[in-house]
This record gives sequence, C-alpha cells and structure tokens, in this order.
Amino acid sequence: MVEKLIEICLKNRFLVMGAFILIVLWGVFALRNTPIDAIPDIGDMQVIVYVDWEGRSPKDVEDQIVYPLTTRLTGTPGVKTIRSTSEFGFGMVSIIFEEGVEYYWARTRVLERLSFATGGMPVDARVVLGPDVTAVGQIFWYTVENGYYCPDHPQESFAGDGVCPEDGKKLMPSNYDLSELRGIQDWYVRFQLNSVSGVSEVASVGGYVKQYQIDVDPYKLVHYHVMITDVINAVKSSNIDIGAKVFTEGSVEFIVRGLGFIKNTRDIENIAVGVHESVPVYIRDVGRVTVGPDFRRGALDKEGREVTGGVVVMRYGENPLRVIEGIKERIEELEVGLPPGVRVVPFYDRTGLIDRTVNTLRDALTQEILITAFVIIVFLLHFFGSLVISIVLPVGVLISFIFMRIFGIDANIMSLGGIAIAIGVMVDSGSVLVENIYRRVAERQRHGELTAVQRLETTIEAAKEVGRPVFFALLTTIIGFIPVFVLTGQAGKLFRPLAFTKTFAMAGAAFIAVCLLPTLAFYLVRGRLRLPDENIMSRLLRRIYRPTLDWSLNHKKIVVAIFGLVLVIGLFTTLLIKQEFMPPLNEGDLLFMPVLLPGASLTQVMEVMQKQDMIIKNEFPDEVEWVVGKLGHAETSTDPAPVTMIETIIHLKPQKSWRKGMTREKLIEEIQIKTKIPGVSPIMTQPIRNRIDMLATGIQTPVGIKVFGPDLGQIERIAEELERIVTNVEGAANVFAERIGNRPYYELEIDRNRIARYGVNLGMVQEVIAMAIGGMNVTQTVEGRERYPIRVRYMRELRDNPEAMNRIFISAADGQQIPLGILVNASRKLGPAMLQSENTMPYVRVFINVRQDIIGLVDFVRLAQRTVEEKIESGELTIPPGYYLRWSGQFESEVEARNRLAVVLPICLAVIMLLLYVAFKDLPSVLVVALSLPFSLVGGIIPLYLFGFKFSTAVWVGFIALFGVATDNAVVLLTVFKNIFGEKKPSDVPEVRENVIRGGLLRVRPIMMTVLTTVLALVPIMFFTSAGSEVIKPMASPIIGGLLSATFANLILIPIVYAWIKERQLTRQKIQH
Amino acid sequence: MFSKKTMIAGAVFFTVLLLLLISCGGRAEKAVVDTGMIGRQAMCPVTGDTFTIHASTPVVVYKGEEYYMCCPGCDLEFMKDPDKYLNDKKGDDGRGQKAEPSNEEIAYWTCSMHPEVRSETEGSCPICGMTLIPAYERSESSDILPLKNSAAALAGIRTYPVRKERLHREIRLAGRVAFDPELVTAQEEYINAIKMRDDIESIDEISLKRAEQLIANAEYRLRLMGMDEAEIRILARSRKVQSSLVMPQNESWVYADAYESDIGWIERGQSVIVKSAAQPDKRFAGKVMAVSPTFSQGSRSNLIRIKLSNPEAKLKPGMYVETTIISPIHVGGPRSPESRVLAIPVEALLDTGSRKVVWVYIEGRGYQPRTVKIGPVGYLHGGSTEERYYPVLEGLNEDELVVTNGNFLLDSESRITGVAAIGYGGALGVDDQTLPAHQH
Repeated sequence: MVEKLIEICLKNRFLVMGAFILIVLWGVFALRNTPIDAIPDIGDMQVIVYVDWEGRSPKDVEDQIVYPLTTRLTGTPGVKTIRSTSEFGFGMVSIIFEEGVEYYWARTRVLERLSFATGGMPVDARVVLGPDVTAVGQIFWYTVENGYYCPDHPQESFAGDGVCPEDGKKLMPSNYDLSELRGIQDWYVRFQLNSVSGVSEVASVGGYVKQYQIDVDPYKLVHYHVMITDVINAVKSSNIDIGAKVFTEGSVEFIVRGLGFIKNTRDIENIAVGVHESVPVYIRDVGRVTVGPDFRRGALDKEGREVTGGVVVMRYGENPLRVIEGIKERIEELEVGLPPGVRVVPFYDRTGLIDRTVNTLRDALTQEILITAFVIIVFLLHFFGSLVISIVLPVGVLISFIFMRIFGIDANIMSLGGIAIAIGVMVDSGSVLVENIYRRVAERQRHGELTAVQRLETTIEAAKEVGRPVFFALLTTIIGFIPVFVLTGQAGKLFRPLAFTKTFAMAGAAFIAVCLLPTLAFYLVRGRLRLPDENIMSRLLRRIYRPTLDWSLNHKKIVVAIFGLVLVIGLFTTLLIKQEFMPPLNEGDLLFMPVLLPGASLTQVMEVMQKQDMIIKNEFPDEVEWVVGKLGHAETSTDPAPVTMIETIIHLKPQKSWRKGMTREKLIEEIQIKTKIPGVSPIMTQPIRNRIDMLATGIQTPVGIKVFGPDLGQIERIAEELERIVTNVEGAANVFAERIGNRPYYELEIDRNRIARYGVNLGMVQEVIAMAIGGMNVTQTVEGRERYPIRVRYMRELRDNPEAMNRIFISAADGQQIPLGILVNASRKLGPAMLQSENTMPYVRVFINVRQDIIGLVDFVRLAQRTVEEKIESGELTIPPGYYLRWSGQFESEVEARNRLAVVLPICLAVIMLLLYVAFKDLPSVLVVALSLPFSLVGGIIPLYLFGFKFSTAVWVGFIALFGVATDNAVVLLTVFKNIFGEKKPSDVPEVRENVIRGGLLRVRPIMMTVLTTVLALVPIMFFTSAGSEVIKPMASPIIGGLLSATFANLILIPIVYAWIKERQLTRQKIQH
Repeated sequence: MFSKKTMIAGAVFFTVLLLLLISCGGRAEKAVVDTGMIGRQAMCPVTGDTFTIHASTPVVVYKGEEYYMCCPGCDLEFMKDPDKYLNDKKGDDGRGQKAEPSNEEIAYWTCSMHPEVRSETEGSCPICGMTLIPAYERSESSDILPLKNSAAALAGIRTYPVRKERLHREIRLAGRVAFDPELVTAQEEYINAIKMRDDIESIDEISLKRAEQLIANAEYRLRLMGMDEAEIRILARSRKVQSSLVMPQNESWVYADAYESDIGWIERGQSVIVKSAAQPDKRFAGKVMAVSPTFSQGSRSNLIRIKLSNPEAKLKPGMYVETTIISPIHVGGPRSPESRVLAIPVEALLDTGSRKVVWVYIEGRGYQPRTVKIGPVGYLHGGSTEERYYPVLEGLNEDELVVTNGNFLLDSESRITGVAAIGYGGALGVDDQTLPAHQH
C-alpha cells in the first residue's frame, strides 16, 4: 500500500507539488487563525447560574433561591454534577457537564430549564445564566482614573504632571470623584468595550455607584403618622414619564408626553408622602435626601489610591490576542470622548504573556529546525538533500495546525509543546527515506551519470525499500502515545491537546515523507553524490564504532555488567526525585492574594490593601512596574471573591532592571515579608492559575469524604467525628473536617406571641427590617444615558447598631408604633460564611492526605471505608436517617485512569509487540529490541535528577514519547542483522561477530543521525528561561537523556546480545551435529 | 569512545561553571538578602554591632561570603576596603557572624482562609487550593501574641487606656409640647381641695374627713394623669397650677412616650435634651419630672412628664419634639454610690454572641485576648454622640491598654498561628473543643 502510494506520487510529480503548495497555503491560513492563549483551560466544563440577591445572608440565599433552583436544574441532560455555593448577597450554581458535551448546547439546556426553574422566587432576586466564558476568560483589566490635561487641548490626557507638549502650558489635574469615575466606567467605557467583537462581558469594579439616598428619621415618621412603606410607595409612583399618543393641530401631529422623571435631589425632597392635619408631608419633612455611594462589595486600589475600573471577559473559544487588540483600538477611540484628564489605563493584559509564550515556542521551533537541518547537512554532506529532509519540518508543523483547526484545538503552551517535542522525531522518516535514495542513486552513479528515467526508477525503488519500515516506525510511535490520550481530569485536559498535536505533527511528517520527499529528492538529489565510505562523518563514526564494538564483543561480561550497574544506579536515582502534579507555569505577572478571615469589614480590608500596595510600590522600585489591588468581587459571575479576599496584580519590570541577585522566588518572598500584616496571610499566586482554582469545585486532596445531609449542624458533627476516626487509620496524614460556621451574624428572631399581642403581622416586621435596616433601591433616575438608584433607608445612626435597631418602629394594627426591640429576640451568633451543596444536598467535606509511601491510595480508601463502617456498626458513629457519606477526591480519577490504563497499556504493548513480531517473525528478536526500553528509562531519569525536576505528569508524558522512539533504532539495527545473517550464514564465532560488526557499521550513520537530530534539537530548549519553558523542559529532558542511553544500548548492548544468541545457536548446532 | 567524549565535554562545562562561581568572589558586590537569613542575628563587620537581619538589610558579597551590614552606608564603607574590616576582627573566622537559628520552629502549615486546616507538610489548601502558610511553634506556651512594632504599625493598631468614666445611656423618645388643660383643671381642683381643707376648722372632723377625701380623690386623678407623688407634694406646697401646661411661659412641659423596654432606665430627675423642628439648632434642657404610674394600653407606652426651660416661648404647646433622656449607667445598680465605671470604646470589643473578647496590649510582651463581661452600651459624659462605650464589669483593670483598631487582625492572627488554641478560640473562631488535636 505504502509502496503503491510512493509510486503514484512519484509518477504524478506536478500534481503532488501543486497539492503541497495548496496544503502549505491552507496551513498558513490555519496558523494565522488558530486562537492563541498562553495556558489551556483545565477547569471543568461547566455552566454557571448566578444568583444575585443583594444584602441577603448565605442562609437566605441557599434556602430561598439556590436550593429550589438546584432541585429544578437536576435532570438537565448531559450533566455530571450540580454543585452550588451560597454566599453573602449572591449564590452560584455550577452545572458541570460530562466531558465532550458541546458548550453552547449545554448552555441552551440550562437556559431551557431556567425558564421554569425561576418561578416563585423572591422578586428582588436576580437569577441569570452566567456569561459564555470560561475561567481563563478574564483577559484584560483596566482602571479609569484621574490624570492631567491641558485646558487648551483637552483631548489629550497625561499620566503625570508636566507641561503641555503643544504650547508648554502647565497641565491641570482632573478631579473627578470615585462616583463620577464609576459613572464614566459604567455608562460610557463599559458599553463601548462590550461591543468589541469577542467580548462577552465587561464588569465594573471599585469606586462607588452614585445613589440618591433618602435617609428617613423614624421619629419624624411617628410625628407625622407616616409609615416607611408610604415613603417607598410615594417615591415609586413619583418617577415616571408617560407617552399619550398624539394630538393634531391643523395638519401637524404633536406627540404628547407626561414628564415626571426624578432628576435631582430636590425632585425627591418634594415628593409628598401623606397629609398630616391638612398639611402635606414631604419627604424633606421626614428625612434627608443626599447623593451618596451605593452598598458595595468590591473596591479597587492603585498604589494606595482608590480608583475604579473594569474587567473584560472574553467569550468562550475566542482568540484572546485578537480580542485584546480590538479592545485597545476601542480604548483609543473612546479616549477622545472622556472628560479632560480622565484616562483608561490597563493593569492586566494577557498579550504580554501570550507573546512571550509564543515567542518561546517559536524560538524553540526555529532553533530546532535549524539544528536539525545542520545535523542532517553534517551527516549527509549534500546541501539539497538536507534541504529536502528539512522541508518536512515547516510543512509538518503547518499540517498539524490544519488538523488543530479542524479538531478545534487552541494553540497554547501545551499544544505547541507537543509539536516542539515531535520535531526531532519528525525528520526521522524523511531522513531514512532520503538517505536511502541518496545511497542508491550514489551507488548507481558510480557507473556514470543517470538519465532521468533511470533516476526515477532508482528513486522509486529506494523509496519503496524503506517505505514500509517508515510507516511501521510511525505506527509504533503513535500507538506508544495512546496512553496519553486516555489521561483523565486535569492531566487529561492539559496533555490530550499535546498528544493530539504531536500525533498530527508525526502523521503530517510521515505523509510528507512518503508523498512529497521522493518527488523532491528526484529533483534535488543529483550532482556529485558521496558514497558512505567517502563521507567524512561516516568514516569518523566507523573509525570510532568498529573498535568499540570489537572490544565489546570480546568482553561481553564486563560490558553487560557495566550496563547492569547503570540500570541499578538509575533505578536508585528514581527514589531521590520528588513528585508534583504539574510544573507551575510562569505567567509573568504576580497575583498577590492576601486574605482576611471571614467577618472582616470592607473598611478593614481596604486599609490592609492600601498599605500593602503602597509598600510593594515603594519598596521595590527596581522590580515592580505597577500594583493594582482589588478587594471583593467585580460584578461578574466569573469573580466569586468575598470581601475578605484581596487580589493584587503586581506587574513586574523586565528582569534586567532588577537588583543584582534578585530572582522571582526571592522577590516573592521579600514582598511577602515586607507586607506582612498580622492576621493577613500573604499568598502569592498567578492570575490565570488563580482564576482556574477559584472556579474549580470539589475536593483537591487525594481522598475526601463528603458528608451529606439536610442539617448543617449534624453534618458538621459527623464530619468532625469522621476526622477523629480516619486520623487513626494507617497511612492517613493531615485529616481535617471543614468548619463552616465562623462568620458573625446578628439575628433578629421575631417572637410570634408578642407580635400577635401587639397586633402586628410578621410580614410587616420583616418588611420594616429589610427597608429600615437594609434599605431598598426603590426606583432609579433617568438622566440621559445614565441610571442611578434611589434608596430608602433609616438614618445611619438610627440603624447601624443594635441599640438603634431596637428603636425601629413598626406600626401596629391600631396605628400605634411599636419598637422592634420589643417584638424580636436579637442575638449575635456565628453562622456559615458560605453554604455549599452538591446535587441539592448540603455537604461538609473531610479532607484526607495519604502517605502514599506507606499505602496505596486505593488500598487506603478501602481500609478507611471498612474502619468507618465498623464504627457505624458498633454505634460509635451515628449517622441519622437522611444522612450519608460519599468517598471522593483525586483517587477517583486515579482509579479511573488506572482502570483505563489497565486496559489500554497492555493493548498498546501487545500491539507494538505484535508489530515487532510481524517485522521479525521470531520472538528472541522482539525481546532483544525491548532491551532498549529499560535503558531509555534510566537515561531519562538521570537528567531529571541533574536539572532538579520533579516527577510530574509532564515528565511521564516525556517518557511515553521516549518509549515510542527508543525502539525504532533497535528495530532498524535488527532488521539489518537479520538481512546479513540471512544472506550469509556464519559457520563459526568470529564470523558471527564479523557479521554483527558489518551490520552495525552499515547502520551507525542513520542511527546517529536520527538520534542526534532529536537530541540536539531539544538541547537548546533546556537552556530556555522564558515564559512557557518550565513546562516544556521537564518533558524534553527524559527524551534527551533516554534517547542517548538507549542509543548506547542499541549500538553496543543489542549487537552483543544478538551475537550471543547467534553464538549459542551455533554451538548448539555443532553439538547436535 | 563516545562516553569519553561526553565526559570531556561535561568536565569542560563544569570547569567553566566552577570558574564562574569562583570568579564571583573576587570583588565586593552588593547583593540581595537571602530570605532564609531574615530574622536571624548577625554582626555588622563595620560597626561590630549585633542586629537582626531584615529584608532590606544591605548585603555585600565578598569572596563568596555574604556580609550583612547594620545600616545603609556601612555597605559602601565596607566595599571600599573589605579586608580592613575583616582583619580587624580577630578570633572570629573573619566574616560576619551568621548566627543562631530562629527560636521559632514551624509547628505545622495552615491555610489563611481555613485555619482548621493543619498540615504537617508544605502544600496547598485542600479546600481552596491556596498555598499553606507556616504556623510557628512558640517557645513559651502562652496566650500572648507577640508582635513587632513594625507589624503593629502595619496592622494599624491603636490602643486606648481603660479609665473610669461616667457613662450614660441616651433614650430617644418621641414627645410633644404639652397642651393639657385637663391636668391644669385637675391641679386646680386639687389645690382647691387643699385650700378647702385648710379653711375648715380642725374641730369639724366630718368636714375635715370629707375634705381629706376630696384631696385624696384629686390626688388620685392627678396620678392617673401622669403626675407622680413627689410632684404632687410640690404642687401641694406651692399651691400653684402648672399653667405652662396650657400656655408656654418661661418653662414648658413635654410629654414623651416611653416603651416598656425603656421604663427601667427612666427616673425622676434625669436630665433631658429636647429638640424641635421649629428650632433645629437649639437644644432645650429639661428634667424628668414624673414617670406616669400607669401604663397606657392604647399607645403601649408610659407617659414621661418633662419640664424644661423655654425662655422665649419658642416651643408651643402641641408641637412635636424629639426628646433624649440621659440615663446614667451605674455598675452596682442604679443607687450605687460609685457613678464612674471602667469604659472601653465599642470598637475594642469583639462580640459574636458566644464570646466577648478585648485585646490588651502588655508592654514588652505583646497582645493578650481577654474575655470580658460588659454592661449596656452608653455615651461618655460630655462626650460626642458618635463615640459609644461599653462599661466593663469584669476582665479588665484600670489603665490597661485595649486595642481599638486592628483587633480583628490580631484575632485572625491568633487563630492562624495557633495562639487561639491555648484556652481561647478567637472571638470569631471555632469552639475550643472542635479544634483538631495538635498533630505531630
């Protein structure tokens, strides 16, 4: 089949060339249009339903909205689990879909459900489907801040003080307050940026939302016999514009409008709320109307100065580079329309990271291609021949981009990394093919110049000869990589794209090798060709190899002992290497995340944030470019941060301007030390990583127990008992049950007897509590494009402490005013800061770390489960009806991966063995070939140890890639041996050895060539320090080391073992004779 | 053969590396503090002083050794002629002392958001995935939280000395300027009855008895209308009706309605501040003259009668006014002779219902949490109405310094570092019993 293909291609050379030009064009198109991001999204495939219920406690949000919502959302098709959290003022329902479900399909299903699921919910709660974004969608953050401007040229704004560049006048600072800046952000900047293509949502954060505040004095309400509900109703009904069709005068139509929108505070003051003794009572009589800040749950700070700003969230599947480009263009356009001096300044911009990552990979790819080409030139000493082989690389890369586009795989550090580790291997098939053509043509040319027809014949023949082995090697490489495809969970999300791209690249390369290379070789491999004997490189190799092999064949025991020793040492080294899940990727920007304990007030958190930001800015002038801190959450469902959480983005200067000896790690530590404030934990992470973590749900320890049940107190108790029980199970380390009740509450429990006695109904009491203490946005003003809320609430000093709350009046049936303190039992309590549930059932988690050096995960779980069951049976642990436990955690995915690998790995091995068997048709040869595997493993481990890498999934993927190619050369060598031994049967031991040496010499050049292309191509990567290299390096290092050691094994150990087998056969034959 | 080649290459590589490393040692150069050294003691080679290394301590690298300087400037001096300073110190091995390890050892790792998480190893929080932070083993097992001055300044800690103060509660009541002709009439009847009795000659026992009966009836009516005994006695003596109840003169009456929860705090003689919308800037001073002995079923309130001076008769009968009764807080009951109580600002108290905690600064040692017992919140006598104070019944002594700002941070810190585990769970913390056993 392969042979036929080669022949067809060679006979239709023009067609082939044309097709390839088209493919290249297609590839270039794909390359330009593939979305590029730095880091793949490894979060769950989830759709978030966001619940906004301002000012309500987690308990209320859970009971009244989130729980009923989740019950109605269960049963949505394709859903794996529904997890929900309820926090202060908002709730989130994460609907996690099965892998492989189409994103927009999933959203539609949720939307379908939502259309009836929200029935009967409190009217002031807002239940919405989150935007169509993923965790990594927050690509651009900016501040809207004051700056300087020249009064004569107000179009341009400046960051710092100075003089106008046009006329030298002194610049004026702009002095907009935070609510004005927020107004500009909310009503101008936000909508403009939202309309940029690819932007799903722009959310505001920081500053204050302007609000008209009616502060009512309850004593005056009593005086005038007005109730707070009267005030609310009066305001509500005093803010409306009406259209009343038209009237005609002559032949002209006039549109009739009734005007009544509230426009300023005076309009509100003059609203009449009732009549007292024939005199109208106005709002101004019972309260105070001011413009003030709305209740806020987020703030933004730039180096100690409060600012306002926003975040741009990109739509699912868009190209971040292009979106950010669009945003920047739009900002430039809209800046002209901003008030003089006001500026839109970015403080987080993904482009930098993406550019750096892409540059790293582009540099890696170009260097690899150049090095590979160079190696080929050195070995072949024929420029055009080398060119032909090298063409595999760019075209192969382009083909993999075509496939990526077809399969919807984004370009990022992982998928491009897959191509990077494939480069050296990609040329293998090409070099084998071209080398053979070259040799054949050269051999035939010895007898004089060839005609075109003869050359074509020779080329076809030579190509056919190696077509099958090339195809075969490709097959083993691809099959060897199959285990990566079955990885699940986060590892799967990270490495499956890599596996895809690597396979695409390999397949592309093989395809080119078979179809295009013979044609190109036909045109370009001509002129003076050197036979292997004439080539300096070959001669050098042979001069070194021959005596080495000769000596080894005569001292088999010593050589085998040395190899055995290396094996043992390598295996011991394994024990020294630590494990980790994934090498962390350096994102450039730092995310400093100080966190206060639940219960901290916004003012307290703000104080901490401003101090820390100032310290970071002032103490690290050489390293830090800017610092912008955010506390609480931006108004988007992709940012569920509580007020006690600060997220400060630290943008660093280029490393060359840093102080001497400063490293990223040191800088992080120093920042943490200098900003250490008691009670605040200085956590340092990275922006994208953090986003993914924040939206991830579930258990992140190897093992966990979820205790489900209706009552929070009960499940907490059970969890604590489990904590005690499991701690004593062998192998358990650090067992802890989650505590949920630690946020201060002030609870007003209404006494039903007393309200009955006073003739008040409960609903009225609650209404007054909500309006008087919490306040209520009753309507909003319409001022041009802007809309601002109007809020009614008691005067601050009359509601902001328990004493004052007791004096809030409730109107009884007979018109008497009853103070709240008489009707309720008020108490301070600790309650949950957050409530969570899974598939509608509240749960508390018990986290268990396992000492995996003592006991395997799965065994541990079995043991722990049995212990817990025993305790339940003996009555030590009581689990009431309606409560249950579920064991969960990372071990689940390990079990799943293990189950899958248990099937896939043997099948892969069996298929490879079968292929080898098909090639050799005898078992000893297959076993000899397999010898190179342990040595490649050992060789791969040693560089890990030297470079200080840990065993991570990345390293394992490197090993899997290595195993795919490690045997290739052994196969080649053994094929040659078989041929030689087939041609000339040896009669005595020296002849056996002579045959082996001859075979070795024949293959040493191509073997060294393929090995060196792969190894040398990867070497420069090991010295990269730029963004993205930290993931590629651990993948590349086992390949480098393993391939080198495998080559030694292939070139020395395998000939020895093969010779030994043949010698044994020979002696046995002699004995039999 | 190949191995030899690689070995040579390797050897060359390592030699170059070694040379590079060695070459660093020739000159004295500025460097960055090794974070592992922070907090340790070192001796400055220039001044010879011993000091604690902190993050911005100047460091000079000379001949591969790091030297820590006590102050900026020393480093410049040192770099001019390092050997001079190094040879000065005989007996030492010629370099800045890298001394004792910190006496604080990491006890376990915990999460700042979830202090219940305790891990023996470094890592990330299983709940939120954040990096765990170390909690240190303390050499002294005490509930005192030591804090450096710089850290205290960063936390914005402010203290307030606990003093004995006069505290009072302010009871705000809705009131009205009295227009009560009925009461005036009743008073007139009462006075008339007294006068009548006085006119009766003492022999006429029956008339006297009847007059007494009349007086008693009138008195009874007065009391029903809100006058109390003392007031009635005054009336009997002065024999003057309170005519300002109808027409304002130099003084006025204000009737205020007190609710059940307030009555216990109101007594005759307490001073009252009255404000009126008619005179928004003026505060009228008055006194509680009587707490009505009867409770009004209709309004669910108790009538308080207040007399106040009304010099220009600005307050007119029937006007609505806002009254604030100043009710002093006594610790040993209302009649206690000691009218001053230990007072702390409300900010000092962390109260979550289960615990009331105040952080106290102990000079030279740190901050200590105290569980306290407090009385009802009040205002400082003569102080602003913005600042509120709690009377402390137990748990504090006079002149102790309580933390009024930054105490939430102290409380958090104690919960994170495990101070809270010692006999105290943090004001906002979990109960002691539920804290996981200290694991080693």
